[in-house]
Amino acid sequence: MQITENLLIALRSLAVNKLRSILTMLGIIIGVGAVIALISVGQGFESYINQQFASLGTNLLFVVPGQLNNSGPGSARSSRGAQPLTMDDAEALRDVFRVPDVAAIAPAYSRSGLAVAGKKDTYTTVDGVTPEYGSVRNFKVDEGEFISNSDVSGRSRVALIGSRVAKNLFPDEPYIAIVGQTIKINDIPFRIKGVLTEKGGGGGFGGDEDNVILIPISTAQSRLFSAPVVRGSYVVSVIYAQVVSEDAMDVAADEIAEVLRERHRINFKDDDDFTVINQADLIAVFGDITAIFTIVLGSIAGISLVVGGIGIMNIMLVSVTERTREIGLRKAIGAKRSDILSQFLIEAIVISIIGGAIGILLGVLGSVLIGNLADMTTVVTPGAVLLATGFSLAVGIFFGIYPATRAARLSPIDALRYE
Amino acid sequence: MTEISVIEIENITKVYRIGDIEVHALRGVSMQVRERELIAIMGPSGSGKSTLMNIIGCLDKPTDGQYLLGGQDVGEMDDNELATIRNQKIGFVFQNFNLLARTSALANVELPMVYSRVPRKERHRRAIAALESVGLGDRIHHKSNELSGGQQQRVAIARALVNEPSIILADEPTGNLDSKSGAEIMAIFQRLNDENGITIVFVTHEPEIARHTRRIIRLADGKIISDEPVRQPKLAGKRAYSVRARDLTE
Repeated sequence: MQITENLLIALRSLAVNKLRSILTMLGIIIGVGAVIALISVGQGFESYINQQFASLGTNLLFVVPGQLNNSGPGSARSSRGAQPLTMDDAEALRDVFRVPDVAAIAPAYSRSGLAVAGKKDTYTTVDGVTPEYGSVRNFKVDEGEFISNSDVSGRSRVALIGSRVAKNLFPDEPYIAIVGQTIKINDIPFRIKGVLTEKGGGGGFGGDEDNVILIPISTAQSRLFSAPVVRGSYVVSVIYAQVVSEDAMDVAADEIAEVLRERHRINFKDDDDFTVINQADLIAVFGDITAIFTIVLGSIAGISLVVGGIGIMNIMLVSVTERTREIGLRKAIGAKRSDILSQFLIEAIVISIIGGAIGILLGVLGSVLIGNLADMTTVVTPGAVLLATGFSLAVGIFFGIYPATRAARLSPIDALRYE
Repeated sequence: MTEISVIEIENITKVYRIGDIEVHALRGVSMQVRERELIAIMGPSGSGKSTLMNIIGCLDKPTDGQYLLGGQDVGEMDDNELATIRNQKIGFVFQNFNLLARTSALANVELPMVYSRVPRKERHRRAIAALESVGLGDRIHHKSNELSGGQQQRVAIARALVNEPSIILADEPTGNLDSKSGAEIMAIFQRLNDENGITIVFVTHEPEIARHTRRIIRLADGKIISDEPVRQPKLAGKRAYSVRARDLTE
């Protein structure tokens, strides 16, 4: 029999038992909806993390004092015997002959401070930085200018404020009016040299990058925080190294390690007293985590799809029993086995496909909702939609074939006599 | 009388096996039905008349013996061929109508043509014509549950007619109807037989129905015990019904 005829029969029989059809579809709807929503959340999470890393800057190596691997990140900086990194260490890494694969070096000295402007104040991170910091860490200036070399050499009391700091201290003023005003950081007055472009992604990896004040590193070390001096050079919190290309990340890390081991006079059999963190490694680790996360969520949702399929099979078996007389009649007036088989199979497929379509709709809605609630971008990929559609089709066929075969095998005499 | 036999049954038997017990439903039945005949197969329950009807209707195959329907040997056919025969050569009318519930009269009548893959337009036209011929031209869009018993049975007759079968098999067609509707249904059968020349076989235990036919075959214990013409067939409804001499002389 023609497929269109069977489609009409299927739709009619679903329309006759509306509540039952909807309840049957519910399993598929929930399953498909969950697959779509959870996969989109997983992928949204992944792209969120990638975005966070990208906002840190590209092809970045972080050099921090202490060993991360032995004692975990929490106690890294308090590792015994670790020498701090200094300005001279950073200077040494600028040697293009010994560290040829690093394009730029940006040391930073970070503390927190209280910034005051008029009657308003805010606690924020104060980063002492060099001019390279802007390009290495991907900070752009919206209004005004970035810190210059002369600011660093002159230990100027100038500051760039992040967009959140600007919002907190100067809620209604345009950026152009903020530049040139004076704020006090830990009671020391600074002239605002510029306002940074908003980075977004608030509160993500590495703290809120908009709640920050950048000042010349020399000013931070000597005038504001009085940083310790080791081997005749000011201490820095972290040295950022921008590598020339993604492929050179490992080579550059080795070059940096070699220079620092030599400077710190580390015996060849001893471990480093610093750690070079590869941004790409971090991304890969997080990528693995999010991939597992997505697979686990997807499988849980997949289980509910299977359960939904069993629901379809159950209802189809009931339907076949209920319609035994109808099947007998159809056979008596000329329906072949294949006609009956395709009728019930198509009915099962129609249930699962309609359920799948509604599920996709709800899944997309759910992912948008989760995206709004969790303030992240969820991505519904065509792949996920295709997967869900294919899955519900397969569920319909798989769980529909047995009831349909049973219907097709009924003998017309028995079926007509069935009460 | 025309000499063409629609049904030729030669010594058929039917044995059912229920566990270890063999049930002999038919023990050697031979009969012939010619074109344009209007006949009744009668017998008490257990006489084998239902089995015989199932075999004539190609719903079941005999254990032994030969059944030729319009010259074709039904015994040689597989399930799909039997389905096609049922679709093309046989129209069924059942005691309990067996219409599709909550489905329009039109769709019910179209159903056999759906299985013989008649194009939609043609299907529509023929279904309407069939419904008109049983006097339901004004109710084609009524759902089956919105129709009275008599009207439902008329839809069933239209459905049996629509593929222009060689025979119509009617199993207790008035069993679920009041006497007035029953008479109307019998009038339709008589008219179809008389005017359209359709061969009709009733299977019934009601003498009242059998009296409307022109030949009665009685079964008992799986055998034919009598096969005789009806002397004065009763006319259903008010319509005058003339018994033709040739029907009585066969």
